[in-house]
Amino acid sequence: MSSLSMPASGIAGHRAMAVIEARRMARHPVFVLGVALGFVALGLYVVLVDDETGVPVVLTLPLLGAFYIGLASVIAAALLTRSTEVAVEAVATAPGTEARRTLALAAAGIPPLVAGLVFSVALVVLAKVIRVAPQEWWFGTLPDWQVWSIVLMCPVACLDGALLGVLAGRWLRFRGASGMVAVALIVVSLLGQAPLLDTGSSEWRLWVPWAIFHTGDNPDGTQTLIAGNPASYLGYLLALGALGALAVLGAMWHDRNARTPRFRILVAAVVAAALAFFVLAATTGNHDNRVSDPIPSRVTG
Amino acid sequence: MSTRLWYLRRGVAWLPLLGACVAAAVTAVLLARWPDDAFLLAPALLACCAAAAAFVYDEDALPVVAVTPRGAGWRRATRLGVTLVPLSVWAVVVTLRPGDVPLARPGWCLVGGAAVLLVAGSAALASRRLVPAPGSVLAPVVAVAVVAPVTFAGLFSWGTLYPIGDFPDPVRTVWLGVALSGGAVCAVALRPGLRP
Repeated sequence: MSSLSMPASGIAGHRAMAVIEARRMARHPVFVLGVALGFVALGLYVVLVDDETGVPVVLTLPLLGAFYIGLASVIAAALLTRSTEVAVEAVATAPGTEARRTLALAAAGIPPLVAGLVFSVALVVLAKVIRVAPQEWWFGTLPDWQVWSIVLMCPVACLDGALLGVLAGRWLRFRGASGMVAVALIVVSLLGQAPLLDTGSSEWRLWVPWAIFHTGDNPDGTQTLIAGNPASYLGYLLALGALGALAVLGAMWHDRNARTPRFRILVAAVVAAALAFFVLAATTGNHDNRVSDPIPSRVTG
Repeated sequence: MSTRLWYLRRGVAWLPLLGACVAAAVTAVLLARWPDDAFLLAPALLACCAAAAAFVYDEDALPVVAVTPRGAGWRRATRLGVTLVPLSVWAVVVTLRPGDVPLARPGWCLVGGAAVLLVAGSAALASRRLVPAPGSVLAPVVAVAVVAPVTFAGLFSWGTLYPIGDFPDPVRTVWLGVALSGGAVCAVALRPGLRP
């Protein structure tokens, strides 16, 4: 119906398909649930975690948005991608190739990106209004670009999550595949960096898809900022997903007709960019973990 | 009994269900190899078992079988028995304690039973509402929900729902609440009748 009224080719046709996919994502119950949980968790944290100095460990909070919105986006995007399979005959006669439809599905990353941005803005505004402890790793104790880089990891992770979902939906055919991908993402992220956090080579943890830069409060009231360059790490995350390359292009790889020489060069270039960002993230920025001044109200042991 | 077994053998989506159980077994092997990471691997194992339970009520021909003379209640009650498969996997893991991880057996049996019961009940409820394959949506959501507390417990100093070693009473209370909720959902889903 709507596909018949769309231009069969060109930018206008692609834009129409992309808008449809973005709308489907924004209305998907799993995505809506994830967004709601992310904001509720942030609200509960601010209200319930009582501290006279303000919002505690504010630089860890992007994890809340990345977890709830990002992982919900993985699942929702995979379900959206798989949903076309139930009408495979109709889809086969629709205008455009599988690669083109996959590229349109990449627009499903826009709602998670926007939700992540709103989450980050809300976080910064809350920290500004409620204040944070003067010793806290935040604006004032860290360069602004480092704080912004860590805060913006949330929307980028949300976008990456949706793109990974498209990838999983295209390649993994078994039921519940997106759940397995999400759990694998958590396990790899935690186990890939946990052994390195307290070592002298903690910057090499940055290969994982979600690296933490802040450990929360230590028992003596201090906070640890983990080594590495958050701006380059943000670039690494962008190379993995937001620039679309590995995730979306990987999904397009599913369509044999899309594997042109130019496409292969593009994939190689993005892989090289991701590697370059990773090396930059690990070798520039803070070379050692930094410990903040103690916050007296947070001393627990 | 033979009729029920015949129905289960042909009607249950064994592939995803057993696939999730195999994933649980692989996670158990990882747990045996790296027992220090039990804080994450044990919940991941639980996530696999709970995800397996989500597939118990997947039935592509639901609109047809829902109106057979044998009845929807018979079908739903029969399928509930399949939850014994992921529950057995969980029970074996908790009994054997791979890697000698100090899992408090009664507490962790409660954790597995509560999670599987709630998920199976939710799937049954969806099936009652004529959703043919609730597992496709439920399994990923459940898997993430089960592992979520691990991520936040470490970072925000919130108490863990998956204690390794002693099993505190507040945690037991939470899981008893989950078990009761699961029981209630199952009761609602399995009550006689075709529609909600």
